[in-house]
Amino acid sequence: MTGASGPRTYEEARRTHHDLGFDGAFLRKLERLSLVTRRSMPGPTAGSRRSPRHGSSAEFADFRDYSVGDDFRRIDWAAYARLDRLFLRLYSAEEVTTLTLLLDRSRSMHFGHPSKARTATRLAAVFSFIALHNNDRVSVLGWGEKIDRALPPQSGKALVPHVWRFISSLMAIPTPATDFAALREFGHHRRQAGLAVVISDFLTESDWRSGLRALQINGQEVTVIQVLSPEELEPGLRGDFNLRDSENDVEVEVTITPRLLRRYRAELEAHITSLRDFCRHEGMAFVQLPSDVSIPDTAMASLRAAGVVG
Amino acid sequence: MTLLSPLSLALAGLAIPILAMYMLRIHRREQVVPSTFLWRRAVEDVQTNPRWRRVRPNLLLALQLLILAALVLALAQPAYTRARTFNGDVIAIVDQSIGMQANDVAPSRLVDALQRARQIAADLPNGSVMSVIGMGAEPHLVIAESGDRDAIDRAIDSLATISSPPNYPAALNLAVSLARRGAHTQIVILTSRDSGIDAISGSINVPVQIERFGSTLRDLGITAFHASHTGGATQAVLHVQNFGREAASSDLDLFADGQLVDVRPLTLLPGTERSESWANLPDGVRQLQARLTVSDNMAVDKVAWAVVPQPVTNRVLLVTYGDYFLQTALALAPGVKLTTLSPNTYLPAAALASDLVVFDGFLPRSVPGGPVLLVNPPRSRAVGMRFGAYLRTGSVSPVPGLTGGTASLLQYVDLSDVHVARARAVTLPAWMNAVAVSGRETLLAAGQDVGRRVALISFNLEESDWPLRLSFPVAIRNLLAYLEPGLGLAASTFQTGQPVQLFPGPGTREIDIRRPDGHVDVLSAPFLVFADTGKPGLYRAREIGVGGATSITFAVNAFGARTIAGGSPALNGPDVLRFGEQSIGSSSSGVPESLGWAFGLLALTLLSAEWWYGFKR
Repeated sequence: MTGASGPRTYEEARRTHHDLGFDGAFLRKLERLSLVTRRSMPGPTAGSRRSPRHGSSAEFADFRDYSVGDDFRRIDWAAYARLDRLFLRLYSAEEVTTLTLLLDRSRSMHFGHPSKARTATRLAAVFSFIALHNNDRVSVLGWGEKIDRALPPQSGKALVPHVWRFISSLMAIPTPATDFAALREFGHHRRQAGLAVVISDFLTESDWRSGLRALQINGQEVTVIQVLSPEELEPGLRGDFNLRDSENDVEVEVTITPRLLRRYRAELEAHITSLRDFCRHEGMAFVQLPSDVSIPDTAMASLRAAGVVG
Repeated sequence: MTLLSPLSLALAGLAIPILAMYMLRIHRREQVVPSTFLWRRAVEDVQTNPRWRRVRPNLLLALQLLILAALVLALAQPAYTRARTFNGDVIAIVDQSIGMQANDVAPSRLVDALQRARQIAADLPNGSVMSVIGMGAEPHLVIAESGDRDAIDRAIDSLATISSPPNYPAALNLAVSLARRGAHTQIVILTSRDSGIDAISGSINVPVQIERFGSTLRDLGITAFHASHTGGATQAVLHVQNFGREAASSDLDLFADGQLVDVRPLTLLPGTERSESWANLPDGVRQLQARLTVSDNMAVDKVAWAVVPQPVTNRVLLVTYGDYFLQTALALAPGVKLTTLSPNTYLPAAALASDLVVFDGFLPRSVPGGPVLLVNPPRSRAVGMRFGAYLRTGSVSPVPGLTGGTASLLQYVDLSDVHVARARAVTLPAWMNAVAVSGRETLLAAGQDVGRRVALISFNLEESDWPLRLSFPVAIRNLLAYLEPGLGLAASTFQTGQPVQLFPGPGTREIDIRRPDGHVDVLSAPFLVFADTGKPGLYRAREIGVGGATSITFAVNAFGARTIAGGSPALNGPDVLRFGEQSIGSSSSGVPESLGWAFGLLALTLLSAEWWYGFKR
């Protein structure tokens, strides 16, 4: 039951992953959220994720807290009478899907203050928490030049600490480089339709378009989250530098002047625009976040605005 | 072109390190970034890593090399040598006469001369002084023995053209008197090419350099204009001269009291002159103006004015026992209506009906209150004078130093051939002055008491040879002019710059003179002269006295100001004439004029451009 298992889960999560910086209040807010899909994705077990599919069954599966917008006909009034809290009854016919978190764990993700890897870790933790608390299944894939670490689909809110530990360990050790061609291997790991959240800085010359399309081909409803550090959004360097790429060691000699900075910003804006346009064209959700974003506030607002959670 | 500090050129070697900085690979700081993906797109050219690289066209490098070049040249101080004409003290005489107004050299000869004077001041060696003399009808010192460049320039700038001839001898004398003893002094005369100043008279110990300004002059000018009224008709005569080197044509317009009465086309060959006359101008005309319509290098001599002398009828009463010469001289004087009485028939009432009474050998008990001329008065006391016995006299000489109206009595009067046998011993009052004497005896005297003028001839004209001399009728006419009541002038036409002597009537309080430009001068007693006749045109003098206000008009023209008296304008010849020591103009010493400041300014400008370009980049 949510009301009984939730606090234990928070405490364990806080003990195990206190460095993620989530407090109990934020996790309670996450409990009231669910992943939003733009198409029906029936899974093998019951779930509580909101879906455009109208269906319900008489088989009770679980409770969850009532939140504004829920169908009030599903409120368990008996529980309300006993506990003075509103709970929503969940039934087995509701959709269950698999959320696959694809995390870029290349070296470039370990830059920034805070690092993009940490922000990606926290975002992945948020997504996994929401999914597991809505009886969805969560799978985590870490990739660099290839998909080299994978957590098979997990379900049940009790596994939140386990999933978080995996995510943290996954992002703790970087791989040399990013190659979106690795996402073509996605079919080897997952053949079932579901949700795929790709978190990366997308600072790569690899073909990210074909990689993202490969996810769609494999039945995934793709959400793209680009995380960039403040130093990448507004470089503070001035003068003569020999810039070395953290992933492929390619060096670039530059004299950073206001004029060059203007050109850099233009290139960055063009890159982000091309990514956003691609996602819009392919029906993917796109969110661009700085690594120093406030997860509880700005990041969640952006995800809601993009229709990723609700 | 020379370099004042050629060793500074060695600093040009700094170009080598500047170029080296562009050729050497720049030491860059190593910086690991997440990805060079965007930087590679942003940067225009990815630098390779050679020790040396080829210098490509670079605006910054070009600017920096130009800055270095400008700085090096600023320190090296390239200079051109400007010849110094004078060593030692300089006395500059600047011609301000009409000839300097010619604009045959733009903007005018005077402007060129002033520029030359400033240049001389700039070249003045250290420790030397400069004086500047303005040369007009009366030379004047505008600055004396000054080494202050600014003060000299201000003095030079204060000079302007005046409508009078240049008084070259007086200006040269003034300059010579300014030469400092023991100092090396040179005189430079800046004049117009046709001023006639092309030589020095006498021996002068100071070297003189004459610099003449002007080129090919085009000038057709009026040189004389006179009007008269005789025989009941008004006549005028005009003289025009072509001062230029080319034939000149013009219309000559004549205006009478502002109305155009005649137009005559004129064509004069170079250097020629001609006269034009008008015999029967309209009756009653008072003022004439002649105007040449041609436009050439001189403007001031294109117009002239003349005042027609008006017939004046003065009633003169001569009381005499009979003096043919005196009676004839008075009768022939223009404008005189003479009445002659014998002393036996004289009545005071007759004097009241006359403007002037002449008593010859006779004095009434009561001398009339108006102007009187006493000739050979009997032994008596009258009009403040005491007449004694006859004294022997001889040759006649004028009294020197006469001023005012009494000076006019001897104008054009030569007394050197006049002899007087005897004359009355005379005691003069304080208000009378002796005009001519023989030894210690007064022969001719005049003066002005309150309300009237009185003149005295203390001898019997028949006991002298004066009536046989040409000076006699002239002196009688001068006496009449002096004694006639009302404002009088010696002439009706004057030259520019010429003082005008005024003869106010008795009781005159003040004389107002309106100049052609409208400015009014108010003269008070003793009404010596009016000297502000620098501007050609018509002047109107108004006398204000006990008898009301009377006025008279006189003309001032720029005639005679074109050339100096006795001078022959040397239209040809060199621009510079030197007299005296050869040091003038032959000095080889020069003044180096550094251009370092210009290159310094250029360097500063380039530095600003380089900073701006670097900042924008």
